[in-house]
This record gives sequence, structure tokens and C-alpha cells, in this order.
Amino acid sequence: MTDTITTTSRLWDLANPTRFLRLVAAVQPWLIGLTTILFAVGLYMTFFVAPADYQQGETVRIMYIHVPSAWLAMFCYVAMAISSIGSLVWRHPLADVSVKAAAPIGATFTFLALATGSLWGKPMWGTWWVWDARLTSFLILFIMYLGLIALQRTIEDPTRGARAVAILTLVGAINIPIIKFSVDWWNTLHQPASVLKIGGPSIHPSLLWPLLVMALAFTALFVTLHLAAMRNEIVRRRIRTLRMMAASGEDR
Amino acid sequence: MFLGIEHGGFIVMAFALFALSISALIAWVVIDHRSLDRIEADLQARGLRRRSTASAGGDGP
Repeated sequence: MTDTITTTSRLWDLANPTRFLRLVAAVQPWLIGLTTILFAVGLYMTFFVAPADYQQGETVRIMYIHVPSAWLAMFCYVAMAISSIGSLVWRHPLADVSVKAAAPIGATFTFLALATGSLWGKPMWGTWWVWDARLTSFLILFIMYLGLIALQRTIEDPTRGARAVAILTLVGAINIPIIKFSVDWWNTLHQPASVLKIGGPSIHPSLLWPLLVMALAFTALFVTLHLAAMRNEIVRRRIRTLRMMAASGEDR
Repeated sequence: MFLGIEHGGFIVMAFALFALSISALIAWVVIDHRSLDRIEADLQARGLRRRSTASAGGDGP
């Protein structure tokens, strides 16, 4: 019981923006180092260790950026949805900062997944794009991200904007299981899941390991950029407060 | 064929797009960071402090 209270108390301590900024400053160099090492190892395995696929040939190397981008695009949205609950239910001071900071990063990963998927699809399927369930639901995810970024910028007061953004984020979260299970529910040109599925991965370990290392590298990059963007958003809000004080002459 | 690899052009384009997108994301965060720090320092140099910072006499919450 006491342990639970202590853990909860520590979590709430982090809700203090100044403590959070100190934590970010302390972990940032380690995260940058970890991300660099993971990308160096991942890219080496992608180009020099992973074999060419017996059907797709060298084109399979696009998988090592396409699949982690798609995973992170969805992971980022799930993180935003959890933060939105934190913002709406507990009014956690950092929750809406987290949502706002994550949206452009998620949008970039979604764009990367769509674009690299298209570049992989043309030589393998003979077409850049098809309106199948997986591709269409992923395009909807990209549009959701752009809509959330637009909404964040429309409402000037961050506290008022946070509520609207949190609600829209939670409504859009219904798209995540649709993306995941679209290849099972509908007949799609996109292949079914081959890594995250019941019964274990159906992909050969020589292709799977480089993919997992690249997925870790993408995750480390996301955490690094998200914390940096959250730090920027906190400072932006402090500047807004200072400017409002200057405008009202309160601190003169 | 590109660089002696079948569909090599598609592979090169995919990785170039990846490098460009990630570089743009990193540049956005770094440029934003520097710009915000400069603005905050400028405001503080004009004597503006948040109430919590001013009362604590330092870099408070």
C-alpha cells in the first residue's frame, strides 16, 4: 500500500514541468547515444547482414524502414490517446503537452510508411496505390494527424485547445484496431501480419532480427524526439505566460 | 536496374526519403529549441520573470 502511494507520488512529482525538464536534460544525451548506436547497428544489418528475399530480391530492404515507420505511426497515436485520457480525466499538466508534441512526429512516421509502402508496392504489386482497407485506413490515420495539428494551431489558448484535441484524438483512436485487423477482416492486396500475430512470426529469423533492431532504433528515435518536443512545448507556454504578463504590465 | 540492382531506384528513393524526413524532424526540434531559448532569455533580460520563479529567487517551477 505504502509502495503504491510512493510510486503514485513520484509520478505526480514528474507532473511538475521544472522537474520534468530536469529529467529530460539528464536522459537526453543517453537517449541520443542509444538511438545513434541502434540505427548504426540496424542499418548495418539491413544492408550487410540481411539476405535478399527469394521472391522480392533486394527490394525487401525497403521493409526495414517501411514496417517500423508503420508500427511507430500507430504506437505514437496510441500514446496520444493515453495522454488524452490523462488530460481529460486527471487534467495531468503534461498530458496535453505530450499530445501536442507527439502529433507532428506521428504524422512524419505515417507519411514515411505511406511513401515507402508506395515505393515498395510499385515494383512488387505493379501499382503505387490501391484503395484497399489497410492502405485506406492508414491514409485516414495521416489525415487524422494533420487534422489534430490544424486543430492545435487553431485554438490559441493551449488549455482550451487541449480539451478539443483530446476528444478528437480519442474519437480517432477507433481507427487503430481497424488498421491492425483490416488485413484479416477484408480481402486486401496488402499482405497479412507476419511478425505480430498469434502463433509467432512467420518471417525467417535472418530477416526478422534486422527488422527488430530497426524497430528498436525507431522507438528510441521517437522517445528522444518526443521528449525534446515536449520540452519545447513547455518553454513555449512559459514564453506565452511571460508575454501575457508583459502585456498586462503585471510584473513591471 | 539501378546501381546494378533490380529495382535499385525504388530502394534508393525509399531510403533517401527516410533520411530526408527524419532529418527534417530533427531539424524542426533543434531549430525550435534554439529559437525558444533565445526568446525566453530575451524576455528574462528585460526583467520579466514568472511569479513562481521570482518568489523562489531562482529557476523555480
